[in-house]
Amino acid sequence: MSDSTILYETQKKLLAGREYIGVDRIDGPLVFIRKTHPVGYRELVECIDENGCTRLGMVLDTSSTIVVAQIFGGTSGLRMPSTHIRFRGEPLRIEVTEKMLGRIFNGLGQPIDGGPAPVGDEELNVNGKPINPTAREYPRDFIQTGISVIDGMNTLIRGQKLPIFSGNGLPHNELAAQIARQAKIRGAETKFAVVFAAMGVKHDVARYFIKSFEESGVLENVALFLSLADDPSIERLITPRTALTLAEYLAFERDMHVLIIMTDMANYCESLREISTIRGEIPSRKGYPGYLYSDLAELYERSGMLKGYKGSITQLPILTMPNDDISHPIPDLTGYITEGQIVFEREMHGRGIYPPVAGLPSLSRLMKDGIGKDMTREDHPHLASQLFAAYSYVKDVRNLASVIGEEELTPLDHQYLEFGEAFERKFVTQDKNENRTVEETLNLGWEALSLLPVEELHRVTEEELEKYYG
Amino acid sequence: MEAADKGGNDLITGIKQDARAEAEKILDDAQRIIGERRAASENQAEAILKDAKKKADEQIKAIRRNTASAIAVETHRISLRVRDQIIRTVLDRIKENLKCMIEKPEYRQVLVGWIVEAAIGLNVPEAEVSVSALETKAFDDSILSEAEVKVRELTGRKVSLKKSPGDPPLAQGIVLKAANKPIIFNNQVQTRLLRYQSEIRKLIYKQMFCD
Amino acid sequence: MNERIIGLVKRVNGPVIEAMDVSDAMMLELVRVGEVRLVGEIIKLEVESAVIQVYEDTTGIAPGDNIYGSDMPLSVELGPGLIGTIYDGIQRPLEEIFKISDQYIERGIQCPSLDRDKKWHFIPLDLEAGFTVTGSMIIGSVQETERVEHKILTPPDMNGTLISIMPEGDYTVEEPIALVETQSGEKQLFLMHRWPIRSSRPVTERIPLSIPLITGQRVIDTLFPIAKGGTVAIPGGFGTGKTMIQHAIAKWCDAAIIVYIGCGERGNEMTDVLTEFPKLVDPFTGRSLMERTILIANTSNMPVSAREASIYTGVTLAEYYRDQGFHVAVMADSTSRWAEALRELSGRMEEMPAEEGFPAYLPTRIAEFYERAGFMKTLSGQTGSISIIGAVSPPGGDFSEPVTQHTKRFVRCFWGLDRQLANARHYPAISWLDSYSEYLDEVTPWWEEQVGTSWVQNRAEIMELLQKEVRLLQVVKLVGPDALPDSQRFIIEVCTLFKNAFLQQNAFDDIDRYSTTPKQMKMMEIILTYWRRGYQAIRRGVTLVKLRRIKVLQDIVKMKFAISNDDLEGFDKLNDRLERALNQLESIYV
Repeated sequence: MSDSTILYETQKKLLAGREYIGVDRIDGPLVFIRKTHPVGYRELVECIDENGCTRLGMVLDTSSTIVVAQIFGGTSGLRMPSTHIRFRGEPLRIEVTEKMLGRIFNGLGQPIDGGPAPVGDEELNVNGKPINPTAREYPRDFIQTGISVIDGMNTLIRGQKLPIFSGNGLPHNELAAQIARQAKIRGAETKFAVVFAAMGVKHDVARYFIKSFEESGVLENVALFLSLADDPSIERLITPRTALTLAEYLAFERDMHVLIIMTDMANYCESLREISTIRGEIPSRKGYPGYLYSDLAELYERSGMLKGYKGSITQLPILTMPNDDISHPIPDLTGYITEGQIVFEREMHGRGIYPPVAGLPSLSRLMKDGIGKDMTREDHPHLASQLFAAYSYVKDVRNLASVIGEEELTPLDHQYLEFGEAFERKFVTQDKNENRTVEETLNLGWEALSLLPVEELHRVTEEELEKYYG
Repeated sequence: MEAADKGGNDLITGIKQDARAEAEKILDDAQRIIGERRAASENQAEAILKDAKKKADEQIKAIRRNTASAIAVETHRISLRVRDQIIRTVLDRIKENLKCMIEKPEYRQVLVGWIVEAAIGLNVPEAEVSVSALETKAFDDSILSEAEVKVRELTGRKVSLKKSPGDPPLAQGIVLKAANKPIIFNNQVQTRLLRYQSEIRKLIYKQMFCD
Repeated sequence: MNERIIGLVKRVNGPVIEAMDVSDAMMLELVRVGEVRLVGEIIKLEVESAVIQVYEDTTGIAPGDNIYGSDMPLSVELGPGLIGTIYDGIQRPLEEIFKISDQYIERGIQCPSLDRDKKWHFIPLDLEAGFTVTGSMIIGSVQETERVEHKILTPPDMNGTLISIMPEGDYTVEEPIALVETQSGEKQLFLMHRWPIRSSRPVTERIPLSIPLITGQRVIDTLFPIAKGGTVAIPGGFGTGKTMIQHAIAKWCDAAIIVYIGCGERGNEMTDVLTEFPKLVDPFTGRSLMERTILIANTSNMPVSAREASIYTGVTLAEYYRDQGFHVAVMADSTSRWAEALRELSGRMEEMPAEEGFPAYLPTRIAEFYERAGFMKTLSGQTGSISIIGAVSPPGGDFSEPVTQHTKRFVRCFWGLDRQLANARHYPAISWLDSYSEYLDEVTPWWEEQVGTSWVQNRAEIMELLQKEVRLLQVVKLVGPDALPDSQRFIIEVCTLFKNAFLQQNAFDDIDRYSTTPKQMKMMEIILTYWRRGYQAIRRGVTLVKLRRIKVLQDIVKMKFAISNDDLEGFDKLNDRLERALNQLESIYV
């Protein structure tokens, strides 16, 4: 390195110590600063209020005349003339280490459990980098969650991103916690970790998860990143990125199988919309910015398995659909990116069915390669397909019955109604602590099918009928 | 008549027999049902007992697990707090040591270094320097001119520094303010420690908790 | 590296950079930004200022950073070695990048699109010095893969006389193979040349379409066929199986070359193609499917502006193979992500939006893209075609949104995917009510000649039944099935059979995943036999219950799995059994 480059580097580093006194405009979580040195796009910003407290932020727009930064700690209490701004000359990084497991952090990765900040083995840019598709390994390892409607019908695969589309008041937290407690790869003892990112959820929800991890004795394998409902809404934008950065480190540097739960993605998207609106960007649907898809993809695509690496990242984002509307931009765009979805149905919840997973709109795209002989059981693919087909017909019959009355139905349709009832009550319904093996799940499926005449079962083979039917 | 009587008797006997047979059957049935019931209820009782035992066992296990986990969690929490305390103590010590340095002759060079750093970072032709009241003793114009020369040597830029006319700040260290721009470079001890906190923490961890 | 500085960064707003002090730059010029040398393209030029669209993450780029010019527009490298490769949106080879920067794609990586070291065995045509050389002329060939004989073409804008041509031998793509005298002096020709992605390669003329692109998917080939050189849109909400259909067509269609553009979609889907295609065998040549496939992957987490370019990159590669006389099929999954990339960039440039934030030029761009399809006579006198199969991802599955609506205007075939069908796991979930094909008349002669003369009537008959069924189902919904007479309930019965036995196709079943045209024809005939004869039987008094109970029906439902493409006799036997069963049934009622 020549002297001049060393000098250049030193000067650049020292620029990070410069403080600009006073900002030119504050609008929501955004601050505008004029006449700065050249500041890089997405650079880390330190905003010091009059009490000397530092809030972190990020550059959103930079030009030779004005710089716009979003402040993750929010701007409340800032005065224009007395606010100091520092530009750090590098993007937001967090220190990552295995020792972050068992700890609780805020959305920026600072500890909030009374302990000291952990010393990282590495410092990583929270924005991550796109994974090369040729480096990916196609996920095909079955994860047993012990929940029939998932294992049997919407199988979770290691490295998959499978969101829960829920609604307010539905038991998505219970299901996510149950999955986190029960999920296991059959016949394999592997290092696992759970990374939990909370965005704008209430204290008691965070409490519920912590308690659930504590009770099942896995808390030392869990890292929590909490940006709760009363934290600045803007912090939610960075929370999942921080959490994913740790997840990537644990999976690809420490060979762990990481399950990451992100809740509630709807809150994340709201914050994104808030920023976009303040910046006066042209909105697409329902006021959400046009880049919502790309932004969500940046998060969701940070999952999977890589060639030559032992670990994996399985994502379980939770989102509450505004108005239970699956065509709302948030679930809609999520569905286009994730590898399937588990959809909750309020009507099933009302009838006391737990988990209230709607049979037809739920889907696991990676299921086909992870089930069957040598993975779950040879009859699994056909059985699942048959259950879907039959249950779909049940829905038709129920619709018909609601119009013409149940008495008018044919005997076969009555059989279907019985099947539907059994399917929902015995197969889908289970206790919040009930952990079923996949064999138990499949047998329950056959039990429900036994209520239908054999001629109706087109999608299973003769041998399977021979072995399991009746 | 006789025949009729006989027939009637036969009929009655028949009825009697039938009735008896039926009564017996009813009795048998009842007995069987009672037996079944008893067996069933015994079974049920046993099952309930078993269930209760299983549940109790599970509860005991769960309680044990919870206690174990609670203890683990609590230990973890305490150890974290202790560590945090240690780090704070170390940092306080560092600050204390730096404060003691003010009295020493070497401190002059430290100040020059801090000012040069700040002047390069600020990159303006004119700047005002302020130091805390504690340090004013060690601070004079010769420090400023020495810093000016150093800056020029390092960057080739000319900078003119002078003492800030305002009240001295409380915290140890120096602050440079550009003469006609709202820019400062804070090189106070507190800020410097923050800037290097990750290195410092690393050092402390290495020395104290080697895990 | 060209070190010509053409300007400085003035403002950074995501992937859009405003430049100042701009001198000597050209519109659509490829540029490099900052010391990390991010790839960008000039998309707007004004006095001393310019707007640049950057194809990589712009984190850290600051005002005052240098912008370096390259003197050429954003182009692709065309030559042997394209097949079997996976590229990103601006034709950087992802496998090479993997070797350089491991699992993540680092910024500013420079990597030639075609392998510079690999030697190709070049066989020249017998051309003599003094020969007039024109654009896109074939001057020799290279065996690119075992199934693709790659013709070496002159650049399309070439005009001159041949001075010399190298003898047969092994050359890299950078070693000269011929020398040509042109108006602007002597020019060397190589195995490869460049072409800018935003201009279509010239052809002699368009030829009317007449040959179907056979996909092996029954609902497509039989009900809604696409012609070679045609365009089709597949709109569908998430989970309706757009990608599954694209994959199935990429695997089994009878095009010689497949260009698969994964535009803003999932990373694992590209991995799936990468792991699965090499293992699959093409039914026409018995070779690995990867030997005819080029992949362009710009997954959803890669920079958005490269997503915009990926579509053009893909179609330019397709044009290059078309000019060699191949039939090429382009899968674009999904054009909505491309349109959204346009919207995002347009928004960043603060352009006035039209509908739903999309720029006003969206329809023009869509039209331009689909117009690059066609059945062409190339400059060298060959014929070749490009068929474009574009997936559309309408928000909320609502087909009235701008991208679907504009796409509909510029394609002639439409395979609408239906959420209800997908929910019932009826795949491919192509709705027989919303979909249409304007190529039907064009491809009918081919079917009649190659497969059977009754094809067109059969198809019409089944379509009519499907239409009737819709009305009947509405009645059933109101009053229940018992209110219908047997003859009408039989229509519903036949349609159900047709859906289960014919329209549904299992992409993962070794036999069912691909059906030849004769198999499709036979299957349709068997179902029509059941309809025609069954209808007669009902008129003679046979009850529906009896018709339903014919045992052979179970085998008809399973014929797609049970009888392979080669076993056409199997279908004849099945048909005979059905006729016999019906004869027997009727004989009781005569």
